[in-house]
Amino acid sequence: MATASAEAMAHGGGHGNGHASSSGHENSSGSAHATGRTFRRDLFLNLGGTGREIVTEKGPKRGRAKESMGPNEVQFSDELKKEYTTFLQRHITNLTNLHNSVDPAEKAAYEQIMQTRRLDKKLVHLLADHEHDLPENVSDMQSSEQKIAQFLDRPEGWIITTKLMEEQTAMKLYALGLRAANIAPGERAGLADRYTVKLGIDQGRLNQFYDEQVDPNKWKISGLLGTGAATAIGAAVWGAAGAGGGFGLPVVSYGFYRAMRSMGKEGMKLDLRQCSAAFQAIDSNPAEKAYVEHVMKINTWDFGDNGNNSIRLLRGRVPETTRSVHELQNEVLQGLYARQQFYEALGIPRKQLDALPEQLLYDRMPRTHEQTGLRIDEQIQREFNANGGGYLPNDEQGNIKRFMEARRKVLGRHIDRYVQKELSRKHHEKNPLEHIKKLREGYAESGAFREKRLKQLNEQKDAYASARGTLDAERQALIAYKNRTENASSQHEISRGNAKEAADQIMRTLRNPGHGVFGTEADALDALNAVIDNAGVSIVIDGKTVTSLADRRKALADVEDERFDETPTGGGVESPRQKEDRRATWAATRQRRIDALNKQLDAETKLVQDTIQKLKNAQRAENVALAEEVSSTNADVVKAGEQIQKMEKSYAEITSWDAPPATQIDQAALEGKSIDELMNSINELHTQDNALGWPKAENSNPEHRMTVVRAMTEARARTLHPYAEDPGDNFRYLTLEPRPGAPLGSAGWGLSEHQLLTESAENIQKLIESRKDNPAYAGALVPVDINQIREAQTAAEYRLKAKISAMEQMDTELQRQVQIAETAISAVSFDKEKGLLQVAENMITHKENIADKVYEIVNHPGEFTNDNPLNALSPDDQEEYTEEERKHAGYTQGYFELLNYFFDYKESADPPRGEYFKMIHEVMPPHVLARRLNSSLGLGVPTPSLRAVLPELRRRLQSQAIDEHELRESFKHISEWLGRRALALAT
Amino acid sequence: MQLKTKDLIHILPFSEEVRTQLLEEYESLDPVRKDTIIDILWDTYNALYALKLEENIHLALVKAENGEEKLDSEFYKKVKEKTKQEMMELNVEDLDEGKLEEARKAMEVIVREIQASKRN
Repeated sequence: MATASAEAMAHGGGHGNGHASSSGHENSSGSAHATGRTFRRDLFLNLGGTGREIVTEKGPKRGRAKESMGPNEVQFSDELKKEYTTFLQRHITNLTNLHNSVDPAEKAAYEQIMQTRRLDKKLVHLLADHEHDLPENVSDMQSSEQKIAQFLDRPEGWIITTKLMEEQTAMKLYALGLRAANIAPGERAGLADRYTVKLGIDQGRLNQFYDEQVDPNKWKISGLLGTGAATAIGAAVWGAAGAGGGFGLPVVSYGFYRAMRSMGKEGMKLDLRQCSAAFQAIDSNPAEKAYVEHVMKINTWDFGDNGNNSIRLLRGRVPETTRSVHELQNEVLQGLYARQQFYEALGIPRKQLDALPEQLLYDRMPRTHEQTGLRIDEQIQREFNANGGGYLPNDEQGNIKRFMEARRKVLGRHIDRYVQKELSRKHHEKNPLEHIKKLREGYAESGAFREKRLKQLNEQKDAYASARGTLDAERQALIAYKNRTENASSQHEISRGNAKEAADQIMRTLRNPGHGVFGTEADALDALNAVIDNAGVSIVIDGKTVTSLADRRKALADVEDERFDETPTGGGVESPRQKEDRRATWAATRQRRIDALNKQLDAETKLVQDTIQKLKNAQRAENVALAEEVSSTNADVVKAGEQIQKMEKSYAEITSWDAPPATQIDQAALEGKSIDELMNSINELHTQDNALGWPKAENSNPEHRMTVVRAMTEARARTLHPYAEDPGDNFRYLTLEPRPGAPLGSAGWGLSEHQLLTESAENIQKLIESRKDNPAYAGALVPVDINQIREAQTAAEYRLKAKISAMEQMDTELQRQVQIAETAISAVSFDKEKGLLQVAENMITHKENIADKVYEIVNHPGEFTNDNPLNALSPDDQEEYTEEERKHAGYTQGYFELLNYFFDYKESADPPRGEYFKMIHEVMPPHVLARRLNSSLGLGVPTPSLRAVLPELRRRLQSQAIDEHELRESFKHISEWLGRRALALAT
Repeated sequence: MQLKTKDLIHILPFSEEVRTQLLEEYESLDPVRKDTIIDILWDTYNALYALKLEENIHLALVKAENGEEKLDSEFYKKVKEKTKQEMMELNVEDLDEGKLEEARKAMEVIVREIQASKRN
């Protein structure tokens, strides 16, 4: 258990677990919750060995919750971490930009830097993503956000970065022929001569400094330095760095600015002086000169040293810009402030700090080292004093050079130590071989991965099938609607035709006596009504003449009004009996007449009224109220309308998402991409802007899937017929909603698409005519000749047809996807995965053999780097290869030899040689092997095919530029790369 | 001499006890533990090699500055040969505190691995 504890300590992190811890503390202003990195303080400081008391000042001024921090704890703010992260990213990017450059001079500079500055070589190795870390199609090396974050999770990362920042800041100043010293109250104060140029770090200047971040052109270094020489130096700094580059700490954040203000308030003065020795420390060393030229973009070639601390711009040189001088100056200031904040967090009083650790080297400064108490500073001082000879009088330039060298050497050691610790940590993690074995079990016939994959594929199939079911239901409903609209239209026509026929038939039975048939149904109706009401008229109905019913009613009344005549017939006398008999006869006769008249009147009245009714009925059927009929609220009609709208809405929604052209989902994408591709694009859009689309986790949501399917359907409809996209002006004029008082043309007649589909053009025209004088439709353009209405109807018809056809296309597409998923389910074999796992495992288990046999390659480079193709061998020799290998007879012979070196495949019995070769070849084809060798051996072949890489490798082996050590490391990289690929199958 | 993986057990600055244990168990280790140990052996060797190479380059450059060494195409080759030779004769006294610390950690890991493999 002692070892576990020792391991935790060895990793040097906070709280005994090897890692920094995060804790949230509210700052004094209470305006924000700051989280910081907390470490053990004694990992940075030699608390008992500096000879100087370390006074803890951290806490109250910066608002840290001091009470929650132990006495041996240090916390770096997130602001400071951000500054450190940015610094490292920029520094590494400046180096990798050279590596990635197509400019041979920059590539050469990179190689030179890697040879002469092993410190940077180690940093690039440590903090950049190299070719073997990157996807196959990416060859550029780049700074790694993840590795830098991991680096700053360790105390070593903070220490190394601080020292590197100091070194880079000093070099920038030296390259400009400047040196920096702060004038703090205390023993370091007292510098002032005619060369001193005050930056004046006070409140006003700091405010201005902050403002300059917004408008960098306002403030030039020349204005501050104020001498011709200084202006010339400033002007020599090159323009802005290339893409992604920069020169250090680029933009100070607001929180950091506040910290800088705080420093200024306390009266720190920072001076820059021209310094010949500093300039010469760079200018006289070609390696340093090239470094500042290529990495910091400071060109010292344009300057000469007049001696006596005076630097001049050489004749004929034209400075390019002064803008980046401002940038450089900001970097220097920020570098100085960042280190100040680092030491402040450690609790080191400002008065114990110099501007930079080099300050003791300059004229008339105290000859004691800066008292930071940092362990690494003590090591640098020991290195400088013991091995470097320490400070020598009258050798300012030598002192500067030796100090820089001592610092770099110690930094290199710290980086090595960090790497070793990380290695130890790595060894404690599970062995990749063990993981790979487990993965192989998972990918076996009844393994967990197989089950997982089958489940995924089944879910995918079900999702497609479900979408197909939904779409099919919608399609069937739309087809039914289309049929219904067609039938509705004909039904209307039929009933209208029948009514007309019925009316005509009635009209044929009516005659105006003496005048023949009636001219119009209205005339007939008038005549029929007149027969009922008026005297002296008549009409012939179906051959029967009906005289005025009014006259007949009068005649009836007359009969009813008749009175019995008391006078006996012929004037004689009659007996009472006779009289009664005669009365009875009269009454009976009268009654018969009344009855007859009544009967006739009733019959003819009925005839006339029935005829009127029939004619009216026929008229009503013929002139059925169009608007009433077509504004159907039938559920099927409403549903069909909604389905059409859903398609259009889905399309409009997806295509309206504002995205960069490359990720925009447009008509072409909706038509050309698969559902899954579109889902991926939508997920990608969502990561860029979470107001758009949805996250990947929600792809299984059926509504999201249907949104995509409907948009795809709409896109297909738009291609099938132009009317689906744009039904034209006539359609619009008819279907736009009416708006009283709207400008002419901006509103419509309020017809529905359904009306266009179900009514005749003539009837629509009638309807419009009827609305023409209605103020509610004042904004509608009067179309409209019949042809315009017909065109709008055609558009409606094609739109519906196109949508239904598009749904059929989508149905086919979804059916295809279901079949693909079914095929994938039945074909789940994992051969590819199993092959990769097998090959990776075999290479790893061959590791010892690969390392031990490396001399075979060193001693016989020609055999392993033979770039002649297999088919250049004699037929007999080719026969020694299996059929599977001979399928690739154009491959270099070296390829087969290297594969055999790695895997011993030629001797393999299980699997047989040919089968084994096939498996390896799928995992590591020649171009992949070429890239691995090129990157891991740093061969620098621009287009790394094996045919190009092998001769370069041979050349370097023969010249011993590459030996067994480099080869072993390269093969180790390849083995690890394969292991990583295999382990990636776990996700 | 052609350096083999197993030679590293002899070369690296292990205590005799650890060295003996490693040599005895090495061939019979299961593949996973053996792979871990191979990695540790080579990683440790490579790290020490890199440090020694850097040191030798520095020394050779100092010599070159004094005119005692030629900065020609053979320069790095010679330094590398010298380094390889010195690596074969590596001993504890050659290592500074930092290097020794790392080597010791590596040894601890190896011993733990072997002990663990025995337990399993």
